Amino acid sequence: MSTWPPPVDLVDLAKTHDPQAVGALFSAGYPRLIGFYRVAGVPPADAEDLAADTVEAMVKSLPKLRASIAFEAWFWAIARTKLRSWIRRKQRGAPEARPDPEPSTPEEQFELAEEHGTIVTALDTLSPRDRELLWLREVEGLSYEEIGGRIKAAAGTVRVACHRARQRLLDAYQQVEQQP
Amino acid sequence: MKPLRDLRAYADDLVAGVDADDGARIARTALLDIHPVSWKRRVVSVGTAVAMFLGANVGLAAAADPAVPGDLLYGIDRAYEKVGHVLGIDNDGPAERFEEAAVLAERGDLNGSIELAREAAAELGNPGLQRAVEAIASAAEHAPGLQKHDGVPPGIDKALNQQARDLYGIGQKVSELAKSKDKPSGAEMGELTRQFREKAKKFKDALDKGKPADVPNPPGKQDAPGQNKDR
Repeated sequence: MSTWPPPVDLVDLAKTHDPQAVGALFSAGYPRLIGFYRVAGVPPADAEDLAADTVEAMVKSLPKLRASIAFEAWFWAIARTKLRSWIRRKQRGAPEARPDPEPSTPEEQFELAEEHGTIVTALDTLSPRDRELLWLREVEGLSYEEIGGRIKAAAGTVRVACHRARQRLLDAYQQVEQQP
Repeated sequence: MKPLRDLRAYADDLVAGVDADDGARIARTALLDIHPVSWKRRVVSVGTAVAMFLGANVGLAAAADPAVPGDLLYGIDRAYEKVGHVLGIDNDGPAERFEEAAVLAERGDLNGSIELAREAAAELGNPGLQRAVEAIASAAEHAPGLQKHDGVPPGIDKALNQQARDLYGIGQKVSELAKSKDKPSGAEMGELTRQFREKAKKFKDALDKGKPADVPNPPGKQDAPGQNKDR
């Protein structure tokens, strides 16, 4: 049930609002949304709310998805749009948006510090755009064309942007490592 | 490149740390916002589910709904799915138990499935729903008897089908009741359930004995030994 990207026949069925197919689709997609939002710098509690909002928006829009084969790109385009809206709300000082990424529980804080402290700290220094690109390219493995098609940019532009994001991550990572 | 490896490991841990079922629940709840199910329609669904269940098991599926195959487990699964709609939400305890009940039914664990459905219905405290679940439970209880008789002798086929239609009609009555009133009383639902059980029992007995209930023997013939003397 947690195959990702989901098979085309599952997407086809989910487009008809079949409850089981929709459930299967988002049991696989929801955790990835949470991961995406967390890496993009959204605090844990907000990431859950944002992912839930995104899933609801996707469920409503599913019948409008023309080519099921393009589901993954469609999925990340909506996820990204929702993230942009969240960032705008945050910049306007909306009460529901928190100013900085922070772990939600002491356990999580400890886990992040122990296991992923360096990468989390390095990511915090990057722009939301860099983090999005790194997730889409380096975690999800989308092609430059797929990313470009959804963020309205040429594949070459995306390639350069991804390269720069990687470089900035490397620099930040090294700086964190050198800190005492 | 170590940072990228770390990024992927971090991403993997983030994804693995999320309960995937949460996503399914959120999505199905969103579906209910899109296709709201009114209280009336929910009760109609239960009645239809009972009717479809019966239809599926006595070869009337084609007449009742072409989408229902003549398969026992599929019928029960669909019935529970319909009952699940009664709840209107999928993210609370009873809803989860109905989902689990459907899974158990799918796997062939009828007793476990029914127990879960009963538990969920009791938790909701809706007498109509509880009776509807009991109706499904009753049908499931008699299902092995029905299943044994895949090949009904041609001579009694018509009479059996008539009885099956009677049973099917009770499910339809539940639907009609829900359509005609805002809220059927527990007594009304209970009466229908009682009728359903009575008919189902007679039908099962008849199948077990190889002849329909309430159908008199041809002149000159007597009941076979062990036949139901209540009839």
